[in-house]
Amino acid sequence: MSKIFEVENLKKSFGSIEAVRNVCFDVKQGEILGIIGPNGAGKTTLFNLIMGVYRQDDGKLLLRGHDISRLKTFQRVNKGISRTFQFARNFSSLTVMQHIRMAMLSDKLSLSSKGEQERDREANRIADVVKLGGSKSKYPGELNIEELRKLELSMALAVKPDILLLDEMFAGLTETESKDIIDIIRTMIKSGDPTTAIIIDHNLAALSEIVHRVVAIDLGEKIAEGSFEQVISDQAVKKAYLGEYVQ
Amino acid sequence: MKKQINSSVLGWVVLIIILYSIPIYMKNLNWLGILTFANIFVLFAISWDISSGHTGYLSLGHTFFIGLGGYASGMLTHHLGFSLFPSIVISSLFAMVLGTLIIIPAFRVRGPYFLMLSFALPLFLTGIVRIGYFTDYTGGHMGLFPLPVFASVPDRYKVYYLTLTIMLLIGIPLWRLSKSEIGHILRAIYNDEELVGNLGFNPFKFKLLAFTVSNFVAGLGGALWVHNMGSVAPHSILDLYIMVQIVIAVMIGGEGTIIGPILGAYFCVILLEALQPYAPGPWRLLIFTLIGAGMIAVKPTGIFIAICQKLDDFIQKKVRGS
Repeated sequence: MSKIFEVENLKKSFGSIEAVRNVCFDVKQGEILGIIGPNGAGKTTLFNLIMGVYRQDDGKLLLRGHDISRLKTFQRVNKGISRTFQFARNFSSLTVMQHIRMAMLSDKLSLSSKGEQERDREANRIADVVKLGGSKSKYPGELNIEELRKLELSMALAVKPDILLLDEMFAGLTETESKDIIDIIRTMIKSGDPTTAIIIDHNLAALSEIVHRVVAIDLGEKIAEGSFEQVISDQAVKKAYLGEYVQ
Repeated sequence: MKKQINSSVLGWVVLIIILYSIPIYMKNLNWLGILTFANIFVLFAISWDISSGHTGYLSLGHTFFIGLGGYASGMLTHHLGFSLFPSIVISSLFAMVLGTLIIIPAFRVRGPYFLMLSFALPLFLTGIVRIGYFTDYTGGHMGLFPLPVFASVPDRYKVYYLTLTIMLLIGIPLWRLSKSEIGHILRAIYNDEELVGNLGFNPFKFKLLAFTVSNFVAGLGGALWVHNMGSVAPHSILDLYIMVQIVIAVMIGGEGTIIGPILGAYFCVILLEALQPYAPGPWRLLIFTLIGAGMIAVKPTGIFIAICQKLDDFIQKKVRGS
């Protein structure tokens, strides 16, 4: 498998706090990479750097070999990266279907109704993929937390990304709901829609079911990398999660 | 398939018929003059709505853009002898270009910061107008007069129809824009600008579009306003009270909807005039503001748009029932 995305020596400080320190990793085409670490490890900051919410102090982000680290968020999205957020975000005035249709537009804006049917068909397909088919005309205020997660997922999918970044997708979900989301992610990746994903989560049980590889970070630094089993049995990872009690 | 009727189009047809037929049964020239002002005031309200009401970049400096159009047209006709219509077009474009260039740096901030920056703009223009060096051109505190007007008093019907037609030629496309995907994106910027960027849209481009269109319409409204009155002065076009009226009109109509602010603007102008015999002087403005604030408190999303939605539900039910 070829590398689709590379993070090279990424650094970011907020005042005297080094939030991300020389982080390096890569993701291969078709791979699901998990990123784990205790609270405050710098996981979401890493996603924010990848998406261009923050500008890195040093280091590079390479998408298919091209440096994207100077691009703005919307440009990175148009290059093929999309994300979901730690706390589900949406537009309160739009229905589920309107969210998906809008996310599909990107820069192909038009005041005419040309191509409407095709767009409707694709939006319906995405709603079905994320299992929101029965809630298409609902507003975010009428959705439960699982459906809100699916709504975010549907928007992230609708921009047709090559890489999907999922930030704590399973937070607040029951085991059954998490399994439902895992099924959706698996189906998406299998159908190449998108081909690759990076997932941040504290729910290790859920992660273990879908990730091919894991990167563990603590205090902004990469402390381990490898298969799920290798990483969770790593002494440094155990220490990061459990502190000095680890022998 | 369920039967459905396009009640928006039906609503526009009814509104257009009512507005065009007013002069047929209204023989009171004073009220016709008031409604002519209302047609222009609608332009103020919808221009604020397409920018601030849609994107959430709430501005208290809209009279700056109105003033740019008004003063530009006043000076072009008064000092350079331009005829009315070329002057109005040039002034609208001037307000659009200069206003947009000035507002662009303010896009870096939003919320109370944008509000305060925008608030400074009309004060800045008022200062320029009153500075001794410029008073030969601007007329200073007293303003510029007489300016050419559209028609003499007996011909108020013509002026009413002219301003109404211009209002509709602007209002309908803006309503269409608001209903389009671009309108959805503008309202999405209001909700969560960062999320809009995460969907691959450049929020700056959309804010620029909204404010460019808005500034043009505000400038056009300003130019029409001064040539309807025959004068332009800081107190008649840059006053904070005009800004308050615009915000009340949009809020009671329903921000981000265009049609709501159109109805809200007519309501505000008519209410202010209706209060005249009962509440003289400052009492009129006080009562008007209290009524406006009360209506906003009762239905923050807009009373008029709520009525439109109720009517729509009623019509759809009737159609399905038949």
